[in-house]
Amino acid sequence: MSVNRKKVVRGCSPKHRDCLIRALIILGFKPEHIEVSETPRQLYGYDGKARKGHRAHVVIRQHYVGHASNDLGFEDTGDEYTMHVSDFDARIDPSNSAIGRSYDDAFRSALLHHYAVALAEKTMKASGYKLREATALSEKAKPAVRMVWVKA
Amino acid sequence: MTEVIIEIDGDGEIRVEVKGVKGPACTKVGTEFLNEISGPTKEERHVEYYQVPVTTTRIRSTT
Repeated sequence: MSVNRKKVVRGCSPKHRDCLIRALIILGFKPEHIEVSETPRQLYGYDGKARKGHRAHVVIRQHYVGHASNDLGFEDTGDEYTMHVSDFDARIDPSNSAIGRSYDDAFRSALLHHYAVALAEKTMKASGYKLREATALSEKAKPAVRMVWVKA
Repeated sequence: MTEVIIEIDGDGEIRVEVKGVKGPACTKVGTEFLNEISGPTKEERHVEYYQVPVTTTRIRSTT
């Protein structure tokens, strides 16, 4: 049985759960496959057995994670989200993953990046700013973006 | 007109540059945003403020 791990998604606040969900959608998950609950839900393994000590508020069930995968979860720990992911899925071959990538540290970084972009848009719009331009910084291997917001 | 330039890279580093407001007000705009985006980890993050020139504040944060 693959072991489940807990990894903090540092800087990803439950206060902005909508931004986490948007980031998950950008990374390839379908909105209807993302379960959201105010109380933590049990996570299950590929074999249908409950993973003891693993519960989460935002859950993607195994069928939508990948072939022979386990549930992927994000637990609200008050200040941040903790990602519950199995060792198997952290190393899954991208061709067997539902979103074409493994759920490793690079996935967590990409998730945080898209979360931050979503949060920037939300915060700036709420403050009355309008987006004048957004540029992908293509010279970098990892996703990077430059946004220019203006307010009269 | 206030202009806020936000750069977010894949390592969680956020750079905020504010133009068009002077001094403390300029810093306030950038800091409010960083407090939102960095949430509870703000006490752990590395933040640099530097003035370039009077009407611009750049804030660099690593979460």
